[in-house]
Amino acid sequence: MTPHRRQLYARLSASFLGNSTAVLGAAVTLFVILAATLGAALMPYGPDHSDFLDILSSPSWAHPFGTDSFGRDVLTRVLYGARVSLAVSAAGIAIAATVGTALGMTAAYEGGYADVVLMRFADLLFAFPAFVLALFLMVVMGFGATNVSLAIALSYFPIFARLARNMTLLLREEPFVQAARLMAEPTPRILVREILPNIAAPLIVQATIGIAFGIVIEAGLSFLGVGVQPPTPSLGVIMADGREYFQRAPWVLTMTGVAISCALLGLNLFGDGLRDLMDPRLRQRAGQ
Amino acid sequence: MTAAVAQPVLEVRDLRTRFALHGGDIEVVRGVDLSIAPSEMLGLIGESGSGKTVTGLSVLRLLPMNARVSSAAMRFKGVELQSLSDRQFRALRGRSLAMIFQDPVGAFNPAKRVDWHLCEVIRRRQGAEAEWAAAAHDALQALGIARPERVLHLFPHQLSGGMAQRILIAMVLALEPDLVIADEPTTNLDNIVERQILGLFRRLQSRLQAAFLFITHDMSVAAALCNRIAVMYAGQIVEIGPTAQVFGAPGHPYTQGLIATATALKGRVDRLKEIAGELPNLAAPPPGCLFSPRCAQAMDRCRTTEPPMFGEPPHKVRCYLAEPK
Amino acid sequence: MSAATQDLMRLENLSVAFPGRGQLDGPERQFRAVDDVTLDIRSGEVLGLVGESGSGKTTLAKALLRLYRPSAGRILFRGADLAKLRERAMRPYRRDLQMVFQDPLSSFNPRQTVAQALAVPLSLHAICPRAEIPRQVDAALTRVGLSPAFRDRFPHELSGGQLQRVAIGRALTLSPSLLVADEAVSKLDVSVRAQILNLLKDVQAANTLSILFITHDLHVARYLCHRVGVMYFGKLVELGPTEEIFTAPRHPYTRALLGTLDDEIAGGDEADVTAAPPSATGCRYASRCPHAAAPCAEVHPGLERVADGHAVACHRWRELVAAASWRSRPS
Repeated sequence: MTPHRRQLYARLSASFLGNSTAVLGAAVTLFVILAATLGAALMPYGPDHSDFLDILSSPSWAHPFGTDSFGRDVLTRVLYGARVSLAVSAAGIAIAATVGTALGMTAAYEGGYADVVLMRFADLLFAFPAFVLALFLMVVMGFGATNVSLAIALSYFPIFARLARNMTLLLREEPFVQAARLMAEPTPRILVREILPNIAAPLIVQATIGIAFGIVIEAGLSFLGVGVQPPTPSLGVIMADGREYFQRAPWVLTMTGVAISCALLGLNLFGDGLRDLMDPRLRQRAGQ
Repeated sequence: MTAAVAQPVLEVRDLRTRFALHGGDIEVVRGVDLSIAPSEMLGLIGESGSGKTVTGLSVLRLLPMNARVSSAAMRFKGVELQSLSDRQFRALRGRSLAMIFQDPVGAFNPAKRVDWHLCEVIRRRQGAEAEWAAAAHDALQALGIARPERVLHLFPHQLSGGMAQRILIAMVLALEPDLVIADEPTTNLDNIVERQILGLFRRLQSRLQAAFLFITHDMSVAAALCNRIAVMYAGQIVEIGPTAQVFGAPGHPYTQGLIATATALKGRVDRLKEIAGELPNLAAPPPGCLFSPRCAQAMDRCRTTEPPMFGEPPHKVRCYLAEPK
Repeated sequence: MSAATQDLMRLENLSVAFPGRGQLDGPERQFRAVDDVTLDIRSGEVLGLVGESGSGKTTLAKALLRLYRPSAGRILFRGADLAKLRERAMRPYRRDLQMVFQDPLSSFNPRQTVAQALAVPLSLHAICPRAEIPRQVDAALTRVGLSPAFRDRFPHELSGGQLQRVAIGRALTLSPSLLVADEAVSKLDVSVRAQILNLLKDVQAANTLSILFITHDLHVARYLCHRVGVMYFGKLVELGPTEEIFTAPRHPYTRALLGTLDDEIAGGDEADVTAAPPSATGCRYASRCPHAAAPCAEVHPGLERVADGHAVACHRWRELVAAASWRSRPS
């Protein structure tokens, strides 16, 4: 790495650390991810370990989040559940991002029919409230974690497509893209080498926010029983349990809700922080 | 005009403006002294990065949040501007202090027609009951706008650059300010329209008793319009004096270089004379004279100590070459 | 400055139309940015194209590079008509046609270093073996007067002048036969302008390159160009050797343009006639022309020969030359 590159990264990290939103968001998100992966593994109980002598007990040292109707430790369930929710959401967003970006960029660059068709299709998907669309898709495709990912992917895909398309439209007219055309750079190469790196930042921000969105959709679908199916724990599934016994043991629902909020907060803050960083770029023209 | 010393309309002493950036502060204006008398047009010439625009914006309090302006004195008609609150300053600006910028269309309220803009200005000057409609029509006509009644009904986005500048000049004329700061008002205009607008500036100058600060990178424009010229380089004024003297006998090597390039282009030379090198990095300026790395006549002293202004007023040069023996 | 005589490229009746945008008052219709232009570019010459904004000069340049699709006419180059070709078919001609843009900063991918930007044409067209590329990049930089130390910099870290040099270097890596410079020095500071103009002059002589130099700055055109074409509202109104255009212009618009070079500024008495939209079928300049007469508003004049290599599109040019008020401009 040239000393030059090193300098650039040093400046980037300095900026990042200077932005409290980004740091806080990153910290919370990191905490959530670590808790869901390592934390879950470190818990003494398994997610399905039932202790019928200790049903619906309130939070204590042995069970910080209490136990549910099967005597399972809620904290452990929440951690495993977070893992599942995150995975499902991330998978769905990953699909939405890849497919959406690819189609959006191509449609914008080629223009004409491709663009019109893609945009009208995106409009169609946008017309439905996301949750309603996801619900409908689950009914059509069948329940289960994989299908939840697909539903999230389809609901969020138009956002990436539109974002990628709009940014590509702007960049397409930029002189450096025209210069690439004049060099006879083939179109796929232009899209990947010239345009994509310059639109990646907002897409990444959108992805972090998208994962938060995906968690909400997943929780909602599973809560209604049409998403992840029990006994696989996911945040929505646990909340479904908790709802049944809310009068007697409010902590199940509440603590799970808190966990979801934490994850969302972390992801949104991180996304906002990233967005802040992208805008006032670190550019300093020579001599100015 | 009597030879009595008229109080300068604008007097600036040791203006320094710095910007707080990620990597540290950058001082973009480094100790600028200016003074403009009534009916005088001072041309501030410089290239990009010279600090000329920031100088104008510093006086007008139009800089972004991360700017720090400090000055030993910044007096407008004797009043110290730095002692005014934001509210007091805003009252001044747009009433006694007018601005004409590079992008004329941006100076208008996009939701209001041209007649509204003129009405605002005329009423401000002549009172709320003024017969603004007739005055507006006459003002536009006087500036060579054919069919003013049609133009009055246009929205700013429908105006061409040249038309918008004419209207702005009409507004300035109606406002009768004491100081007009114009920053590259014709840079974006086409050749022929530019010529016409410059002519209107000349008319502005003769009609109003205002002081003018005309900021531009175009030497020939400044030479044709201005009474005095100040040449800026890297945040400092390197030469200042009456136009004829600065152009006829430039003392600073940078001024000489600029004039040489401009004249060479006008004549028919085989090869243009270049000013080698680039502007200094203001974040890490070179020691001594800021122009010394590019100067063919630089001496050792130039590279160690920053030269002060030398020379008999009114023509001063910031260069050891101008030091009296 | 000897003018070359062989045609490198010939534009015949070229038109480029855009949908929508009509005039200020007029109805919405197709807008002809370039209107029936016939022009030849000779081998080894610098041809200047001057005009104000809206004249179509930039659109013309981009059309001949096929960045836009012409709506009519032909672009004859190396025995083919480029106007008809699709993007794929243009590939073999791309090496020969390169461009330097007005804003150097936006003509580079902000995420690529100078070395990466220069390597793109080298690898795309297999100019040299892979291993040779770094050396070729250094050579390209030296050729335009920059130290190879610039290779790892990003575009925003270079000044306008330096970047424009890199842009010229990039264009030269393909050894083109025609370089289009679209207002290549307009955005540069005066002190840097001379450097770039001198560089272009040197480069042109060293490589027997043809340059189509688009500018609104008449001084620059006079310095650099062998021949100059004047455009107005999409039409080519005058074309000829530089000195003749500057000392003995025949078209009223050319004269008006050259009038802006005078050192004295008039009192600003001229009305703003740009508000009047140009005629759709007649001479585009008629609505502003102080010499406009009956035929001018009806039919647009074709290009007529004035002298060797000098042509003008004006109905009345002969009468005007004879008139007492129309004298040659001072040299």
